[in-house]
Amino acid sequence: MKRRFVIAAIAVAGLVSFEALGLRPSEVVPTRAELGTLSSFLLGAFSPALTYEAAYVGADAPPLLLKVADAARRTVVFAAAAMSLAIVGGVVLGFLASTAWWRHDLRSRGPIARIAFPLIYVGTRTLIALMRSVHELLWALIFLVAIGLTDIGAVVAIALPYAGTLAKVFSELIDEAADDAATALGGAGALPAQVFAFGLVPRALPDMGAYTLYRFECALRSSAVVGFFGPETLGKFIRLSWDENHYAEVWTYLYALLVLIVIVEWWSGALRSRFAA
Amino acid sequence: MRTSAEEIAALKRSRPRNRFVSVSLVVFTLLAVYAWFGGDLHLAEFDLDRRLANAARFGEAIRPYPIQELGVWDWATAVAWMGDLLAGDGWQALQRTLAISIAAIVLAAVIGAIAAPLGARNIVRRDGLINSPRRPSRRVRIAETAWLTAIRGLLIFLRAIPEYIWAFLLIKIFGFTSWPAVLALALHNAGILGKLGSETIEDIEPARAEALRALGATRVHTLIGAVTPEVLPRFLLYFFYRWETCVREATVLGMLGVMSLGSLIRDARAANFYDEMIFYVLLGSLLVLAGDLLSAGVRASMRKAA
Amino acid sequence: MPLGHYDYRLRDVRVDYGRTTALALGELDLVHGEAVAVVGPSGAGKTTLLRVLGLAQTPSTGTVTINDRPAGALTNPELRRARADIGFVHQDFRLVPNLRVLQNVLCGRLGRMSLLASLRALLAPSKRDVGAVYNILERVGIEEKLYQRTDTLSGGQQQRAAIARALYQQPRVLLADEPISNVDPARADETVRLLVDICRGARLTLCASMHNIDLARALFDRIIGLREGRIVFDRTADTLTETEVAELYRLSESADGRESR
Repeated sequence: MKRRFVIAAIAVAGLVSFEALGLRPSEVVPTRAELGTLSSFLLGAFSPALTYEAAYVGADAPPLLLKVADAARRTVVFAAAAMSLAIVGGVVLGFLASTAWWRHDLRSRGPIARIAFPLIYVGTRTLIALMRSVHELLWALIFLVAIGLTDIGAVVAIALPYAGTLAKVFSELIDEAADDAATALGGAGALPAQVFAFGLVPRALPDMGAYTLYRFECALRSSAVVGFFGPETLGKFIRLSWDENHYAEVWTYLYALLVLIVIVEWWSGALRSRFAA
Repeated sequence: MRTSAEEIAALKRSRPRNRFVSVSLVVFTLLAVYAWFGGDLHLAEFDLDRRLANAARFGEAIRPYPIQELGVWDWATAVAWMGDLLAGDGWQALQRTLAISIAAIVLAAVIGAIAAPLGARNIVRRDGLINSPRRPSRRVRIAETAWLTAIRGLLIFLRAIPEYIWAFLLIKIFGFTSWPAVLALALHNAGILGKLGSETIEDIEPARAEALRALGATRVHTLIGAVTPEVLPRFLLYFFYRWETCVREATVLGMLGVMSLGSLIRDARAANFYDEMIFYVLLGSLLVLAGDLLSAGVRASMRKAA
Repeated sequence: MPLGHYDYRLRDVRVDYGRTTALALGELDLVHGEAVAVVGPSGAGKTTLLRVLGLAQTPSTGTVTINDRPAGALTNPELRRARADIGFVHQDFRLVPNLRVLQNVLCGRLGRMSLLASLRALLAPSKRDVGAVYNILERVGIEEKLYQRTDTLSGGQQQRAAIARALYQQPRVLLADEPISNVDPARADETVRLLVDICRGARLTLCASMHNIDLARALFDRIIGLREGRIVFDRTADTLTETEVAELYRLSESADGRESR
């Protein structure tokens, strides 16, 4: 497909979509009232709240900054817990969804293997696709109405699609990794699992690590947003402050999230340059 | 003469070690342990029995309503029920959700494509692509750095804020139309595409662009003539990757807006119609899977044509 | 199948890739303990022959018999044991670039270890294993690279690391595909001599392909010449004639006088 054709198709699709939704550019221009809200909100960017905006807070309420720091900490905790599950799931499912460890000498295996391995592959890929196709917030919603959300529910809700994505990317990285070392090890009698672990994974590991870090950054965002549904992460407090029109407080929470993201970005950049070395 | 054991020990001591990587691994492991056992997740209050009972009840409730009345699974009834839902609002909601994702990513691409060269060091810096014998003044350099930092900062901010939060904020300003969802997705992804675009521009082989600059072309001319053709293939790939994410997000953001899969899910849930809710969730999944297939197909054929 | 002893009998082995015949042998016997050099121009089928001997390539027709047992009839555990007994040094090394040399060499013994044992051995190698690897690296001359990342080694050093991995395998048969192609000529003699000595000392069968006929004649008992997949000669070193060697490497002339190799 020529690139120019693709670009033209994209442009057409874009215009059609805007039309279909009935969106008019004039609607983006805010009304007077909306402009007021917008400007008060934007002003908050330059003076985020350092203390509560409400006239009255409970006597035992912690200082605002402490509360923000705590919410940020919990956001990290949820993200880390979800990622730990996602990594385990991603590695296991990624192994089952990759073909690199059995596609080479399938003929030399027994008839059972010849049917079983492709079946496992197809089955795992389907499972992964299902896991990935439901957004973590929708999983959270399902858990919410099914069993009551709970913190664990939120963690699992994030972990499910993340495990699926990690599995897909891991299996692709491994399948596309250079397999010369793998064939050498297999030729020397190594079991498929050994070929996988020592011949394929080391080659794909740097890219796998980089992607996992990127996913952790996304997990921070998901963890913040899941707070809208109950768990006490940044999202919960953003919503609460916003509903009370405490825009400066909203900015404090937003900046906290920004700080978390920037830290992780810096870290992954530093690791990536070490990985390459 | 050292013995082999001593020699080995000496080699081991002086072996190249990646301290940063090892420390990072330790930190992440500790973080995971702290996350699970630090008490924040209230594991003890989980009450497995009650949750399982809830889950069982939920399993009953998500069967299509006519099936629940019948008491036994019947494909014809189930399919008819699904057809009614689709004919009613489902199909339109599906289309609108797709439209949201496309409108958003196209808008994001436009913004990102404009922002990318503005944030690329080799475009912004006067001597970025040519070896000028005369170094620009200190003032100019400071201005350039300030500009780059500002653009990059803006892009970071756009993509650090999750789409859902963007949409939530924009509703209050733009009201209950489809704009908040589209803008939220567009802004967030503009940040991402802008950053990726900047990096791609900075990674290009400078030869072609340098040649144009040496001939006296302005930075704009160089951008159009030499940089864009080289950056375009990768930018298109990023475009399709982000579109796949937009399709996922569009379903969820719909929960904050009007007439889309997300709003149907929200309304079904509010009315406790869990069977319809699950149906719309699955419909969203189908949309995501179809989008992934289409994106993969286009990317593969672009690669082949290259 | 008695462990440790590998007598090969190849009968009418052919390896075809589509319409190209890579190998077409008549009869070929290898007795355990022999040191055989395989020579011939590029594309003659040397690598294919080694792969057939290494049980990595199933012939399109013909039989490969090991100790009176057809290779095709080996059960999976037997095949695994046989592969573990046959060491292969690849022309393109096939090492994992971002692992340390130590780890790459340790991988040689995977064929004899269970999954769990191999995880323990490679992630936390015992002092004894490390010492054994060090000794082998010493024999091939790169012991100081024990803990270096494999991709920091030069081509010749990586080749020796690949040899080390094959030796660490404790094979009964050692197959080497152009083991000196990346080694500078001064070192080539030393490297081949090393291989021959180690194999003679441990009573391994050695079968190595190379372009250097003089080296082959000097160090090997038996020299097989391959050309376009066929055995042109199969001689002991002292009965090989110059004519035969010249014939092997001559440029062939097609019907209309154009030269081709």
